[in-house]
Amino acid sequence: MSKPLASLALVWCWLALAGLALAWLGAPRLAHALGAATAVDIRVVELASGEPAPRPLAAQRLAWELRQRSSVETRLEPTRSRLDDPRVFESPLLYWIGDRAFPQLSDAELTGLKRFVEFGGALIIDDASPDQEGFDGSIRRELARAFGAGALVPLPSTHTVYRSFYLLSRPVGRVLGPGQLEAVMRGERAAVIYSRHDLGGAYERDNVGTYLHAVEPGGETQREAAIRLGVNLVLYALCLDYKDDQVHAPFIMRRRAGQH
Amino acid sequence: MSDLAASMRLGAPYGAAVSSLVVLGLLVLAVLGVRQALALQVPRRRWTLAGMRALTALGTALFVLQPQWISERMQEVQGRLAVLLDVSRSMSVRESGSARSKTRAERAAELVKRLQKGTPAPELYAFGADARPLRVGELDGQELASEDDTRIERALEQVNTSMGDELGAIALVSDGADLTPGWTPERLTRLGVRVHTVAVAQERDAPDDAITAVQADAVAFLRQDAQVEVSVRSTRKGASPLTVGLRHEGEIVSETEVALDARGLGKAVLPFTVTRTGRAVYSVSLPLAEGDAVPENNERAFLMRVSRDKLRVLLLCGAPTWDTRFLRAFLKADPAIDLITFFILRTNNDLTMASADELSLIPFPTDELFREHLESFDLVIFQDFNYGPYQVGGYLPRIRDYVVAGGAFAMVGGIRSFGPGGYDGTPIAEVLPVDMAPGAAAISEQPFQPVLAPELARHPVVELVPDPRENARAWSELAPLAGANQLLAARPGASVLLTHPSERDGQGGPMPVLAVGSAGKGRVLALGSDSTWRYSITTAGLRGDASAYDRFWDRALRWLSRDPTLEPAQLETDRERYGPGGHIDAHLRLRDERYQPLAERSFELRVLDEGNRIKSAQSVGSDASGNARATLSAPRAPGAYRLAVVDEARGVLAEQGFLVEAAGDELANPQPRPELLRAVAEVTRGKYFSDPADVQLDALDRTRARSLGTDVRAPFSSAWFFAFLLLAFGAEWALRRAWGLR
Repeated sequence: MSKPLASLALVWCWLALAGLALAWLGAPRLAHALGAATAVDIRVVELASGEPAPRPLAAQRLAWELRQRSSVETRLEPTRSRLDDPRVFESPLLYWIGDRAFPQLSDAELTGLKRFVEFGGALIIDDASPDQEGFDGSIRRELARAFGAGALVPLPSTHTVYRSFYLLSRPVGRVLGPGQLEAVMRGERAAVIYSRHDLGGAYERDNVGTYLHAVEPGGETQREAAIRLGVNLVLYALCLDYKDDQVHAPFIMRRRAGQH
Repeated sequence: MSDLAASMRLGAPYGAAVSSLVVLGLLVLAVLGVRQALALQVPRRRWTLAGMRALTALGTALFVLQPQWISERMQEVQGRLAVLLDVSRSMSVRESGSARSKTRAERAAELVKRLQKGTPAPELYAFGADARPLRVGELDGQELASEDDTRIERALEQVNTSMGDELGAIALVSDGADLTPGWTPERLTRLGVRVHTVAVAQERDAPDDAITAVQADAVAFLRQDAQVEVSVRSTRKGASPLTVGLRHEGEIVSETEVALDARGLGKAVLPFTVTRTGRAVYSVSLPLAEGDAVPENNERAFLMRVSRDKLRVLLLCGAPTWDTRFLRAFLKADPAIDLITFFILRTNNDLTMASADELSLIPFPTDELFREHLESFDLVIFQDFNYGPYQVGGYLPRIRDYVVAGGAFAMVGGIRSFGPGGYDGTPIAEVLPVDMAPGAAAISEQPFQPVLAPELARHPVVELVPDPRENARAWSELAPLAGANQLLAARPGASVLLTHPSERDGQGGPMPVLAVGSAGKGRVLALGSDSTWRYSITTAGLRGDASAYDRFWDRALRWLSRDPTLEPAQLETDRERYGPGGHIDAHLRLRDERYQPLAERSFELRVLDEGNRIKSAQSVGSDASGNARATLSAPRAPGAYRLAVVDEARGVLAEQGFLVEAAGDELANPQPRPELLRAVAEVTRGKYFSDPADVQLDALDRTRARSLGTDVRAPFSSAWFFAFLLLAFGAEWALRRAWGLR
């Protein structure tokens, strides 16, 4: 092809692409929410004591995965909130991630945590250093203060959270971790779910798409399982025991049987 | 004329407490004073001073207490005679049980007609539950004894009040079968009027098996166990156990034997299962024994409204959102709701990164839901649900028809509802109470505080608290909503309960946010928001109370499913069962569909039979508050009926079912009680007649003691007595000074 012709073809291609882009921009599309407050915000907990939240990209990645994989309209730039901030009640989901011990919550934080859960909020706690005791000890202390000693109980493998979207058999994250999640129950609802699997560590990736942390021991298969667990946790917060409805039972039983 | 009553009382103008204290003080002073006087050496002085001190103390006490002597002058005067005739249905019983013998009412009517011919003619009254003037012509009527109750005390009081001072005495002609619990003839002394009593039937052991009471719940649930408790009585000597049968539409449903105690009483519980929803008439009966005195009371009926035990709700959610989560949690928490939910968890554009077997997702059973089971739901909710991608479009006409036929439908907002969901111009839009702006962009993303329509603040859907001012405040304190679907003007007849503070409805008015209305026989609700969940957790964060959300949705659901307590018009009758031709007392509270009073208007009250045929009709007018009261006659033929209030423009506003029974409560225990009538005569100084033939008009004493006034004498309150007291005190003081005492 001669050079002028090639230049013309290039210009034409650019024009065509620009036209398509304009057409796409102008086409009617469904908005992602009826107002900013209605999109699902995986809101990260900030502590008044100033302990930094590790895995800063985890909530954003989980929000993106949810939007790609399910019909949940997520906020792709998750916000942050302190437990003692009255605005914590603006969104019913909190994601508390930590990797070290932290001082006792203030009375205002503790009250905020209790009220958030009692009024219907959902809290996902993610231990980003499950091989150490620091964060785990602090979390157990604060949950006991807020909800009473013994409130945190193991979540059986039959719980809805393992089938709220994907069919899962056990929890995994960046590490294999314990075989069960733990939860604080409010009635039938698992209001607080605690994972010691560093879920955020399995989600984080940089701007070019490279995952930041290796997943042990299962590699990429385990990472996919960790993402699926994250999706399930948010879907459980949104749909509660929907998958326990009778209409789902025969389908799920059949598929579970096929997996074994 | 004679002084019949004299009495004494204490005036005590300074009150009982002050008077008592003063008298006590005087007593102490008098004792001390007299003791001091008695210590004097000179006997004349001793006794004079002691006497003076006792006298002044007594005088002061009388002045403080001020005793009064009251005498009432009474006069025995001749008044008019009122004849009060019992026309309750127990008076229709024939004494010997034979068709040839006279009824109690016939015997009573003969007496009344005879008395009526005398001079002066007595005033005639009839009574059942209440007394009313009786026309002589009524005495020959076939249905004289048609009242469903007997209230002797109330009737006597009413006649006494009605005739006032003119009344001399009352002649009560009755069988005495007044079973009002808790009343005794002694209470009649306060009437102050002589009551002569005439027993038209004597107590005897007429053989009679009867069902005396039937107790069953007004509401039963489909395919669940129900039961009815039946009380029976037999006056037959040596009665064997009775067999009680329960019938529905002529078929025996249940049967049991009842053992009778020594008094001939027994109880049976008959269990049964209801198999059809709607109103059902059941009857319980005893076999008719030979010579039974009152065959009518061998059968009783009762009404039962059969409904599903739970409200069936179909909730379709276009995606998991906080709004769908909170509504589903609310519905699931209510044990009275049978909830079927479907969430669209994945669309065709989503990449699950998994095979179908690794997912818990199930196909959306459109055909099963909308073709096979739609009519089984009481309420269908589309919450942020777009029909397009799921082949639901073909079923939209069925959903419209379901609503028009009496179903309930709610569309809750979101980016998949109303215009963005493509509902404009569909059959669903035909039943919604508002128009909608078309297209995906028909939304407003600005937070806002919805405005409560002041003229509809009493609508149950938005009545968070009963007081209108408090209700408006409650709404203003809720967390703002996050955004809104663009809705247009309301359809005719719809009620816009909440509006947007700044967006317009396309015709210049405020944009509806919440509207309700009717579509055919069904009810519809349109809510242009997907953030009422903020009335729960977010409002709770602000105010500490998350209950507004539950109250709002609870009332919305109850209104949509026609909870009778939330209906705008209410019609209540005084009883559920009447005898043939019995008087029905109906109370009406009339409101339009916007819950505004239908004031000072005319309506028609219709009695309809089971075939929906009009048996009688009469007009009734409402007052300024939209309330009305009417009295009408029940049909004569036993059966199930409905009383309906009809507005010319709006059709049937409210209705209430009732039964007409051949027997009813009045005939359940029609045994005469002559001893009661004898006691009434004794306590009122009247005369008792055990046989109507013995009654002569002249023999009925019509004199009544009448007060001519009272005289009150209070001698110790006069100025003379006060002067005497001062004199006594002065004399006592002067003597002391004269004798050199302190």
